[in-house]
Amino acid sequence: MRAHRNFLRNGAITPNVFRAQGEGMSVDWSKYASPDDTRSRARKPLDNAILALVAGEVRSKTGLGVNHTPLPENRAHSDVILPQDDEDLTEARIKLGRIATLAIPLDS
Amino acid sequence: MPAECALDTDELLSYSHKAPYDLREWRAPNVTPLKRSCRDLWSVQQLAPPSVGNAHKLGGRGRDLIERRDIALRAEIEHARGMIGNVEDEDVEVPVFSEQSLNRAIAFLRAQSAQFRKMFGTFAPVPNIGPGPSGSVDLHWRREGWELLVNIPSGGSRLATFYGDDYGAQKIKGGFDPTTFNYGVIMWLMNS
Repeated sequence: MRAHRNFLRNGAITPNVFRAQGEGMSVDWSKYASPDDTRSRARKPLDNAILALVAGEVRSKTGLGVNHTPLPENRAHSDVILPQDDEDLTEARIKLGRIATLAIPLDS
Repeated sequence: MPAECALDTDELLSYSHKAPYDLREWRAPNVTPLKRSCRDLWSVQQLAPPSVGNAHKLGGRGRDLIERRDIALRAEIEHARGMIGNVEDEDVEVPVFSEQSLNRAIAFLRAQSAQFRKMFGTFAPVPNIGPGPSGSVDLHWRREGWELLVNIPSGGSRLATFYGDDYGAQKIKGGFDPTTFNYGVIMWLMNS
């Protein structure tokens, strides 16, 4: 998934990066897209880091759903379904921050 | 009871008078729900730094002292103010958070910090202040032994939410009115 520099702290992952866009939090399935592919879809690629999440870990450690939701222009598109409840969302964001890793750091 | 224990108790009770509520109330068998609710509803404005609403009580000298000493908190607030112009999405240019939202978060943070200092005699650990979802503001503490995230919503009428744990079995989670104190958050910060 992309993480804009505005939501990173000195290039490091924070809970700020985990946010819904529409139905869920947009991510790309690595089966169909490389980190470079994902980064290149940003309007300003160099302003974005790429984070990696393992779907199984997301499901087991946060209890969130991960669905493949391909788009005509992006076969890899998937959604992590974030909680609607604000308290649960706060918990989910802190836990996502622990299992996410940097696939492409900023300024690289 | 050994004499030294009695002295300790006296000292504790003496300290308790400096706290915003009387610690002895917890020992009383007839603590009423009203007393507890009064404690919980202690207003941020009553203990916030002068800029938030009690300047007339502390005066310029006291205000300067608080502001000068808590340098780390001031630096983080300045950093957060620098983010006000950032946008969430470059296509639609939605601001990450508004100045009003940030001011609410800062008021909460300053008040918690002042209360922490009043209770424990030291400054509270300073969080990272960052943009949360939908224009909200995140206050994030990450330490070796614990992590805590408090989210201050963009709308004034919504509850703030928090989640923290020690990376193990102990955890804290809930919602609260950000214009009141949350002793659960303060006690969690005491772990640092």
